[in-house]
Amino acid sequence: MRTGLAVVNPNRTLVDRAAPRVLIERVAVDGHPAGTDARGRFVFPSANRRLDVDFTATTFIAPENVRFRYRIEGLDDDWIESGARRSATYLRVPAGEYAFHVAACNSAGIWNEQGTTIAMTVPPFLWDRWWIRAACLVSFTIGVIAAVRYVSFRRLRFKLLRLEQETSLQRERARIAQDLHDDIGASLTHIALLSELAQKDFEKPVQAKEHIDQIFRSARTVVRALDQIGWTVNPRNDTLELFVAFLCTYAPDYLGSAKIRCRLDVPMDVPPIPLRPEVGHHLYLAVKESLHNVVKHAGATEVWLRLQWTEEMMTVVVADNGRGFEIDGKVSADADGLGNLNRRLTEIGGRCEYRSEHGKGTTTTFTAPLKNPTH
Amino acid sequence: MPITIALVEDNTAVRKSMLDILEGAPGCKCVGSFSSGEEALSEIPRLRPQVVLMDISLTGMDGVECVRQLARQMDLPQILMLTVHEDPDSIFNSLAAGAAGYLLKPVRATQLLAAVKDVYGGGAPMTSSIARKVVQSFKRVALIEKPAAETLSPREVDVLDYLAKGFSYKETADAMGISYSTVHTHIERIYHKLHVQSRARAVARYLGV
Repeated sequence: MRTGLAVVNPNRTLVDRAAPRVLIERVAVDGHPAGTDARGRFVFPSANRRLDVDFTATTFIAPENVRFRYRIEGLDDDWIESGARRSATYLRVPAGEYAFHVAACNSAGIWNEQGTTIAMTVPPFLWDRWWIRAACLVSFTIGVIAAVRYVSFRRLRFKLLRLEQETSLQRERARIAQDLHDDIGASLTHIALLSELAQKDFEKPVQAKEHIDQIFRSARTVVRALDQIGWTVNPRNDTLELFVAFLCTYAPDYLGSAKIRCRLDVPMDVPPIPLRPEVGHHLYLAVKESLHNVVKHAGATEVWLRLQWTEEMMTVVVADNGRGFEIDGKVSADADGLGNLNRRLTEIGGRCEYRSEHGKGTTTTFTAPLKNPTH
Repeated sequence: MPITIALVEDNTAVRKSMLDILEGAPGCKCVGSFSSGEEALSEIPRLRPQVVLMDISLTGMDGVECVRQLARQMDLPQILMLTVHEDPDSIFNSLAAGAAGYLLKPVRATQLLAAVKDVYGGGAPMTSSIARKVVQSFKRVALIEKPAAETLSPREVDVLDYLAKGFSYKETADAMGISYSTVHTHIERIYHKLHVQSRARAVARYLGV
């Protein structure tokens, strides 16, 4: 063993007073180096998961004894003692502006209070930005208002539609009541009166026979009228096919009883199209009225009933070979009836046209839309 | 030999009045009157009347169905349908099922008796609406069962075409340059084909084909 002497003067101990300089070595987000913006601030994506900052200190005196502490201003309340570990890790840094401070002390415990600072920015998520939120709020509000208005508008329209249907139902009922009163009430009254007369006819068999015969005819009129009223009321009849069949039965019957030939020009195939009851009803009454005019005024021997249709339109033509009339010339008693026909067709969104010449008969054309124009 | 008649009518008052008319007529003998199609179906094949007056709108089984089922049980007597509604569908269906004609109610006593005697002579009427339905029916069948379908001859199609246009038998005969009785023959043949067709269809329905 060697011998020697060592003298230690505690007043002269050499203390390392130079605090170590701190350097940032690496800033990484989710394992990739983070970029900086134009002002030198580190910018991290909003959806960061893990933030690593590696730092070191430049000292050669016992570097293993250098200790660090760091904090993120705005995130940490106090310094975090890192010890000898030369990295800081943060998980899921929320949006904001931050300053990362790191300080180091040497083996003698002298702190470099200034340390090093880097500025960091985590932009807010798209949905966290105020203007996006504002826009969302505004569009949501507008959406709610629009929905409310739409619903109330729909409700109003629905109400209107129902009102319309109700009035058309009312009209329909008024019409049926009118028909019942006119056709059936009148005929039944007639029958009652004739029965009274027939009771007083016992002395005069010829007259009795005549009256009883009138009773039969009146009764038959009632049954026909009921059949027609029933036809227009029955919802089963709201198809083009049945309407066509009805007209093709009605017109020859009616004209036949007035000794006028009825010719039909109707396509054989009738497509299964529904027919609005209004259209069927008004077209039927318009045809009835114009046939009535033919029988009463035209002096015709033949009438053509032509039916044509497309998907949109139904056309009914009544053409006679009677004496005709001048439309713009002498205003005849018919004019009133023609105005009535026009009104009918207008009511269902259709048209009514006449062509007539003296001695060359009259052609009346009714056109009506098959589809409801309001829908 | 009086014509034997059976009557099917569900309204009691109407049935009684019609019976009175038939009983009071010379040359007619009413052998049965029924208030429902079901009742008629069980009695008529046994009674074998020569003419049946059948109301179309009966409660329960309607007149059309009654004719259809009778046709399955027996050689049909001459059947006259009675109806208040001049509904081409049910009239056509009755004629296709085998009825010989139809009368619109109310009918005059003289007209009824004349029709009974007429129908006994044979021959169904063909109005414009019925002619249209006949043409449509043959077209439809031709579409479904092409080769087997009973088809109309060109002359028969012409006759139907004229009738559909509203021509009378006489006018049709004049327009086609044939005799009135030839028109009648054509119509009889058309009806025969219609019966064959509808019976074939009824059998097919019955067998569930």
